[in-house]
Amino acid sequence: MGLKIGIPRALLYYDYFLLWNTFLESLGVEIVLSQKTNKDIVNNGIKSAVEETCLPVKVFLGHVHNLAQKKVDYLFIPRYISVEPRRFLCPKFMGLPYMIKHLIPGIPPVLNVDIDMRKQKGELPVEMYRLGRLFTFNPWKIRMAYRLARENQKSFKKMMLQGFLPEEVFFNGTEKSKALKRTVLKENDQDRNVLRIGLIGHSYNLYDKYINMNILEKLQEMGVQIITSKMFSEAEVNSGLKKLQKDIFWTFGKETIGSAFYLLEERITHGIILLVSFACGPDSIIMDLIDRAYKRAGIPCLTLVLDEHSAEGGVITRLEAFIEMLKWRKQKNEGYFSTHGKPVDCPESPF
Amino acid sequence: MKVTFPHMGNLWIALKALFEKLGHEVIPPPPVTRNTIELGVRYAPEFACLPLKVNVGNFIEGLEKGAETVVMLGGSGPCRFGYYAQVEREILKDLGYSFNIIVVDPPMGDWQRFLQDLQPLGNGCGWREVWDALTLAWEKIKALDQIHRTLLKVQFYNPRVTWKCYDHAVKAINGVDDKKLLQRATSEGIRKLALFSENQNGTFAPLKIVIVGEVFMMWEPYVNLDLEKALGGMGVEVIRSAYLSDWICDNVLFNPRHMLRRIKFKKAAKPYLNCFIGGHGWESVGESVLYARKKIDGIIHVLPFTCMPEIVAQSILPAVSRDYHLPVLTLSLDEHSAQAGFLTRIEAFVDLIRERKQITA
Repeated sequence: MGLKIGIPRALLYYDYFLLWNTFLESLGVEIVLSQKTNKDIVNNGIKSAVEETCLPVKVFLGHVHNLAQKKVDYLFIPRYISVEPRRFLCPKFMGLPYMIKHLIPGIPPVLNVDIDMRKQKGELPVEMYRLGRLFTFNPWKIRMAYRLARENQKSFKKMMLQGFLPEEVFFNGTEKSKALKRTVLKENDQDRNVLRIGLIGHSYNLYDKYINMNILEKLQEMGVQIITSKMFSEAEVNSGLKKLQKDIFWTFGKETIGSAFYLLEERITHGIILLVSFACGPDSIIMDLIDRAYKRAGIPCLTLVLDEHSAEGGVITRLEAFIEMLKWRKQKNEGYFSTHGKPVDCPESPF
Repeated sequence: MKVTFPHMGNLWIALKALFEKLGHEVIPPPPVTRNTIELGVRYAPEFACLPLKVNVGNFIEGLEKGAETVVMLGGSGPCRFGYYAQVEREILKDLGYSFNIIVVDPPMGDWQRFLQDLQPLGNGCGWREVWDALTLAWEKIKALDQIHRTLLKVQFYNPRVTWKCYDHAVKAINGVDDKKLLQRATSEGIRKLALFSENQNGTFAPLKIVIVGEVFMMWEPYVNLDLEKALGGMGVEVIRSAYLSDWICDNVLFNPRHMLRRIKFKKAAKPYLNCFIGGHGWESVGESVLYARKKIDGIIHVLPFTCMPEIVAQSILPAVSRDYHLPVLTLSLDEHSAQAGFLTRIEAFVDLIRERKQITA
């Protein structure tokens, strides 16, 4: 029996799990996941974190607690500094392994992996090789594992573009997975009656059902077609970014603002929902920029701020009100959107 | 051009000298007050950090006073500060101000763009004049920091009078626009302040507290609720872990002596945090360890609420505190921080340190 390595089901798990899973499993390592996010996990996380930390990081700490009880040999918490040239991830990700070491005493040792692709793209294989050497002495085996992992990651990204949910892809493959059906969006005229909504946020907020209070399913139940910020190709995001005067230096920020601006330009949605976790540093600025752009263009935009105190009832009410409003104004006047500060009934300001 | 800029401690004196030398009309925003912060809070994003809100307040007040051009520093991440200017421009645009913003972004290898951005600030001056203006501003920054350092060494003897002397010296530095006069004003100020320690017979040993943390919160007295003055009033010798001149030496001039210091703090921080995390987070941890090895009695860590790098530092500092048996107080400040509650916490902290020192002594 090989080593047992624990991966917390939080943060970048939703983006890179398949990569690490394929790589480590083909080197004969057993992967142990933490449970799905639940109340205990969140509470444990809150207890050990500094109060001001954002919810996703608190949840991450909770998952580490959960793994610590599962008797794993190592924890796999890579330090993500940067995943593409000239861009960083959030500072909290950069300090995450250190934070965990000092906040949660008595956890299994953490595997030390640095992901830094700021300067060159060749960094990753070197780091993966270093990681692979821990489990096997056969460089060929590591190379094959890396290739397979990269292939899987590529196909995973493709599936994300089509609107599959990451967890379903990880465990079921494509056959059984439900997709959010992005394809329909492109053929605008096909389905005129359906409301289309952009759901913009980080992957760990979009896809963690507990954190976001199952917003995806709730919206689908309301008969709304969703397009998430993960469903945009690099080219689409980049075309959205052209509106900015200064290149953005956060990878997630680039994704969110690029996709939101792309939606704004193409006018394929009737409104967007911004999913932010409270105290998220990059988002405090980026979501404000998005919000301002949408207000100027006159397209409704709802900001949902998530934290450990958000209650499901309040969120449902706000979602329902938002959807009602969108439906109403869609019937009234295709071209007119009531936005902040203007009543729905009169396109011209009464003042 | 009528130029305005954000406040950060005494920075405005240096910037005023710089832009006046370049032939601009300078309209410094009024000092940071309750009103500034209220304006900022009203228009800035809800959970942006406090410096952004203060900036926005400064700009609004500056533009109201008649400024036309806003000068702001940029950055390359991952701290939010690098994107401040972009948001601030959008906020002011939505408020309907007509203005011009000049963002001083680091060149990142593209010197042509960098110089192009700065060209309007040059105002057609020759290289020599630009050099003179820059060196004058730099000398002023150094002089102000030097005086402040001297002040911190003596303020606990007599807070009221020393601060008066300090304000006087700062005013004198603001008034001069010549390097020789500046030198004279500085040494005069330092001499006066140094008198306070000469009159003592050296029996009084004050508690030593180091302030680490986010630089804006360290340097702008209004937002840190006059932390240094308050501590001085309690008979504490305050050591500020970083000054603006240090920051410039570290990040702009790459001064060799400072580079050595950086290597030292990186080594010290290694067991706790071994990478750059943006902003001042790494420095906070490293400097805390370096100071902890010296004979100090406590550390106060200041940060604006939700500051990303400092939250990482805040999570790690308890470990430093444990390992070096040194009390650490973290003060997370935002627009809701109130003087009374704040003072109570500091007093309690100082009392604790004092008791501790008496027991161990």
